[in-house]
Amino acid sequence: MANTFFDFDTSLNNGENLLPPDEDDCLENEEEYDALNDETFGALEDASSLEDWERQHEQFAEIAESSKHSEQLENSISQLVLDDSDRLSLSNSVWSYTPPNRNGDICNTNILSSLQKASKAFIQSHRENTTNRSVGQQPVNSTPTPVTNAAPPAVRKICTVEELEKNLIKTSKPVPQQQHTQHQVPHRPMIPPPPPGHHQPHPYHPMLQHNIPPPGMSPMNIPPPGLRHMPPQMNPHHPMLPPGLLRMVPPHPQFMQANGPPRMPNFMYPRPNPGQFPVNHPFNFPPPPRNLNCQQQQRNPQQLFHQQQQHHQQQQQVRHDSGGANRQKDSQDEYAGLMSMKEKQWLLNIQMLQLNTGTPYFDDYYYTIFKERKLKSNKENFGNDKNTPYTNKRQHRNSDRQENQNTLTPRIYTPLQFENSLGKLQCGSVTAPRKIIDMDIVTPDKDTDSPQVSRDTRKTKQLLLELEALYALLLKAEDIRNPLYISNMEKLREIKQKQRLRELELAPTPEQKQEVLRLFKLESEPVVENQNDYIVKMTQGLLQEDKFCSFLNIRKGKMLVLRLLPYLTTDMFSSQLLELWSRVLLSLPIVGRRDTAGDNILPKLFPFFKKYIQSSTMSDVLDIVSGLVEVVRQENSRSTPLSHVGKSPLYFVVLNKFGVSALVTLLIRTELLISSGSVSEKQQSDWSNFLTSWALQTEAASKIALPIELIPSQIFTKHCNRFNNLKAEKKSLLEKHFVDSNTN
Amino acid sequence: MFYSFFKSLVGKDVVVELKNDLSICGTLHSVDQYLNIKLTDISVTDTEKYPHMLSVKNCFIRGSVVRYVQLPADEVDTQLLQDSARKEASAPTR
Repeated sequence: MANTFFDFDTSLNNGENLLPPDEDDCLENEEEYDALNDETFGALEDASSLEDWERQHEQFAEIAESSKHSEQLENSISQLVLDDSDRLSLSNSVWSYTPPNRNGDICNTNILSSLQKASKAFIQSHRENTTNRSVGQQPVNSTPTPVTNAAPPAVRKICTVEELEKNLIKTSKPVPQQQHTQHQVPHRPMIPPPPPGHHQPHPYHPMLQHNIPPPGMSPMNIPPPGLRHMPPQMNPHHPMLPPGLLRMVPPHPQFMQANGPPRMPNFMYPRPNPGQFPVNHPFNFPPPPRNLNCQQQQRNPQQLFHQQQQHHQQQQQVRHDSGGANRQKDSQDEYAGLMSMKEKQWLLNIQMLQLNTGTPYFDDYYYTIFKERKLKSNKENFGNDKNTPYTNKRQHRNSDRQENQNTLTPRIYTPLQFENSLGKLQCGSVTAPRKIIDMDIVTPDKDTDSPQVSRDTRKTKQLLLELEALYALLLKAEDIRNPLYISNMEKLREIKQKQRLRELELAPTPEQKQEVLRLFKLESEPVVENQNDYIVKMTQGLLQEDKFCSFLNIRKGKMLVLRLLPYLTTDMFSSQLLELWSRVLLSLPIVGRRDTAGDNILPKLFPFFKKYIQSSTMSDVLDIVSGLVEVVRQENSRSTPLSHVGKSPLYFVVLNKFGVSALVTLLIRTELLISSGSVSEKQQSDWSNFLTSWALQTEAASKIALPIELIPSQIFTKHCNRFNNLKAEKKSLLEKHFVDSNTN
Repeated sequence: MFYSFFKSLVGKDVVVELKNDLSICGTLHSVDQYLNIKLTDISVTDTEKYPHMLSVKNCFIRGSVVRYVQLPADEVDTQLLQDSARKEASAPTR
């Protein structure tokens, strides 16, 4: 056999090498252990039944093997006996670790058989006891009935052999072994019966592998092979098995040894299926790693022997009852009942409490406002009966639609690619968890306009940042008048004050006390803010000469204007408004096309424009209008696109929906003003000039937009009659596009 | 902030895509401060080639394993979300 065993010297009397300490402990504790067995572990049927089934299983397997390979036995016997000069060296080599070899029946059987033979030899050499000798003979002839009798004595024999070895090392007395064997007997009742139909001849490899220990544990392993002699039928002793099996779980927490619970899966593992996944396994554990047990044995030598016994005894139990126990285990949740409903509710309440701040407006903004808005809209809809079934249907349809889409359109997930990144996203999947997709360097075109492009992007970013700053101001301004904000702010202040008071009490030094007092005073005064200040700041920020147009080009900018407009009352902000609107119209050449294509936010500005104009003077109107007529010069060749050159903004105004609507409004206003008599001659002539150019542009423009509101025809006719220079065809053009022909 | 956002989506149908490429469609039952998600009435979207959960009706998904949550567009107020983000950004102490 092997001369070395994990590089340990396998010869027995290595003067230098002491036995590993745990073996000593095992040896020492074994007697105690046995002595205490009944007292400490006798009551714990599960534990002992664990031992039992393992042992039984071992014996089953042994029987199976021995029945098959008696001839090999003979050979190995002779070999063994010949080799054997020093018993313990033999035993050490016999128990040398062999790698799991599922197909190696012969190999394992050889080992087993040699174990048997070794034990036999020991017994024969050491013992005068007739029973042992007879037992020693038995394992060779494996018949069920004699084996029945042999089983307990076989177990006893194994233990005694183990004992013997230990004795050889430590010259202990043989007397305790008798006790030991006696103690083994009470474990018999725990041995479960295998089912009658259960077929035995499974290769015993896993058992063997499982029990082939690291070197220090070799003596311990004598039981397993010996246990194979355990008979299949041990019927009288089982009624406990199923409950025993089941109860293996609950006493776990009590069975507080570190190895106990982790070893449970080992016990339950249906040994007869070494190569297969234990599908029927109650715990559905994957095959526990072999070394798990070995390591555990190393760690807890005291428990080792006990566990081994349990293990052996349990194995047969498992085989028999894996079906029944399985079913029972499934219905029982091993983690059920740990907490009552009350306790769960208590925990939940704690968690909810932690989330409860007094100020949801600050901490939980989105949800709070969303709920409020929804409530408002629901109230509005509630009044209207027609709407509620519609909204319900709509909600249903939304979810339906989504689900339909999910089933109808199988999406192929392609991971995102980012430009200018060094690689692709890591794509982890079930099949390839660490798959890093091949590096794909995407570089932009390195042309001459790359500095241009980057400048533009920088500019856009700059604009966005400025917009964000303005938005912050807007939000603050909106908050000032918001009752929800006010109440939450009040609450926050209270909380802070309480906190300051607490700090005051806790402050160790007087300076700190002063500091806290100061902060307290500061915070106690409600901060009065003027909304208009914010508004003014905002408008200043917005209406910067060159930036306003760019702001309007961005959707965010338009939304900002939209949100700001309600606050710009004509009484306080008329000058700003004027500037605003003229800028808006002036920016239409650039902004108009994009808006029409995408956002369509400009038309939303119209009501505000209308409101403003309805309170404007003629001079304002003329201010607005005059700017539109100026032709764009060719100064900045870069900023003005080719299509804009030579055309006045009015051209683009006419093309834009908002633009024409604005023009219509202006006309109506002008008519009103003229008819009220507040318009001077000069102004009228200016206006008529404008009308002419308007007509011109209408003629020139290809696709005139439809205004939101059309000019009522009577107003139009009245208006045109004032101006003689408006030629007929121009008049008809204007009429065609802008006049509402349906009004009477 | 996203906790607040998800709270407003409770009861809506969402599709949660996990970092292991599994997509689960279900009704958002609840969410917590770690953005752990509980879904009810789930089904695996896309192809069922990923772990089959045919018998699973409810699930709890740890927040850290979520890659995306696909939402119904009409249940989200983007303006409000933007404002919420701005407020978070300018919140004095947190």
